[in-house]
Amino acid sequence: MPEEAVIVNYFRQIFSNPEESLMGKMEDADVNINGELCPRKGKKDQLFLYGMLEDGRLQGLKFMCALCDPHMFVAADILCRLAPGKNRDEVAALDLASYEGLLGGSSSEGFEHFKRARELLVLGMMEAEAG
Amino acid sequence: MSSLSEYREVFPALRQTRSGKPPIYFDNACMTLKPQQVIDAVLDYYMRYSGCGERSTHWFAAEVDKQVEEARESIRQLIGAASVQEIVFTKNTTEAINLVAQSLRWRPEDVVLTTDKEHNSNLCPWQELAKRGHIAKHRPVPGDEESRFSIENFRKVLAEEAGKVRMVSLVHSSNLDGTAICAEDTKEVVKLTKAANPDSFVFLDAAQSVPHKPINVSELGVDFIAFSIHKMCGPTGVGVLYGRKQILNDEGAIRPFIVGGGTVEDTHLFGHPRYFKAPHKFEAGLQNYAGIIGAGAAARFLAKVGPERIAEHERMLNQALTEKLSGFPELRILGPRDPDERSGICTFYLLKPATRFSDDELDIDEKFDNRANIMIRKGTFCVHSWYHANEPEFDRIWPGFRPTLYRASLYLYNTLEEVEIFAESMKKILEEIAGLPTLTEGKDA
Repeated sequence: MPEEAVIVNYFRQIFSNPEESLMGKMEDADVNINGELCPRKGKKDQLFLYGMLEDGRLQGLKFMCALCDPHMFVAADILCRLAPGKNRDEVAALDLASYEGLLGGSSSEGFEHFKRARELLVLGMMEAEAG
Repeated sequence: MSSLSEYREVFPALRQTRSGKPPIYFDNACMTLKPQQVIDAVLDYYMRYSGCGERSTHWFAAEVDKQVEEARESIRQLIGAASVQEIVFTKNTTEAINLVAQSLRWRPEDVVLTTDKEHNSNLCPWQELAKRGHIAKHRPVPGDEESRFSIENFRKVLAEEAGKVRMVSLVHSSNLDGTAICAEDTKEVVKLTKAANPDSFVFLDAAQSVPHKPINVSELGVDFIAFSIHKMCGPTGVGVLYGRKQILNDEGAIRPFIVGGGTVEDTHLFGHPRYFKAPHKFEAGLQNYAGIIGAGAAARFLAKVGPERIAEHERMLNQALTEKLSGFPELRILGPRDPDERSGICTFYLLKPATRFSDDELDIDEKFDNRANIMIRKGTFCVHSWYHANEPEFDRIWPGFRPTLYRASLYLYNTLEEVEIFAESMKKILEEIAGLPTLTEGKDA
């Protein structure tokens, strides 16, 4: 796949200001889940998602990526900006328009990554709610 | 300048090509290639005399016994052990360390010290002892500011444990960054440990040292060392435990935990088995005779090349490699900057949160392999504990930054030309991913 300018531009933004970064580990997070979300065999790309829950609604989110390509960083960053304040059903309903609204453009591959990240977060919320 | 080019010819794997290019094998910390002498020794066993050892007395069995004992003697000479009774064959280093961990007679108050940069094989066995309550605790000794073994820190921890340290088990040369414990420090560790508790042991995980430099266990004064034959030009499936004869034969100190055929002189339906003396009481069941015989051939091969020459050759290559890689500002080498302190290992990471543009693009190690047949290793190299302990350092570069580590590990058959090709390939790869951000302590460069 050729380099996607819209993804790379957003990816660079993620690393432009540490004060605004949502990357990192969250200690004592209610939601604490990671998954190998890259479809290619042999890769061990891992997305880590952390979040606090209050009355079933996310209060804050952080993420880390290991071995991932920019699409997953971008997907995770957008997800972590969109999901706060939402419950599980509302997170599951985050759609292409929401994703592209923050991305500032279109990327079908990027949205595929976003969907995988979104499913992982929903699973993490389910696990957290189940105790 | 060291050159071992004459020995390169005896490694058949290096004679082949793929896409018109020869292999460049830089994954030697994991597994080394095999010279013809070793392959011939293994084949010879299977083709001429593949009987069992230590039991039958016929023609083939006698040849097996002879070859196995010659292998034991070759290994004894390579590491400077006092007796062949001190050479126990195992499956690998991991099994040798576990053998000691599971066979020593522990006391609940015992403490085991390791470094803070151990391979899982010299970490899990001791953690497991603590978890099961066989010992009081396992405690890692912090390294210095460059992640090297610190004799000062060791002295401090030993004093804090006030005579309770029963085992000091240290990585002699790290598979992560190549840093090694020098002979003077090793001797000092032995002296301090025994002074604090005469009933204590010093163990070296020598998996990355015996294949690469001269080792003399008698001079070092350690009680145990373990290493793997597959990392020293030998076949897979064979390791060695060296243990001082007085300890291995002291039933009050150590009893074999895998017992059965080959370990006993006599048994009765009621009562206790009467075990052989070391090493046989620790070698239960039919052995990997082909592998052991190949191990002997590997030890003789290394002795012929000369461990000093191997060490010097690796140093020379690592100096060249380090110089080349130091020219890339987006690349960081793990461990001390001075390559002389990193043996033949050069582990590095990129100050880039991502190293490819998409899922479909090859990662760095795959590009090396696909384009230039350069084989390196990616991952945490079974030193996960170090990586996790070092996460705050990565966070200082950028919160949540978790770089991928790549390791080039060199050996006697590698050449300066291969280092050149590696550096050229690295340059090309970095040019390709120049559009991805590079981090510099909290900022996108």
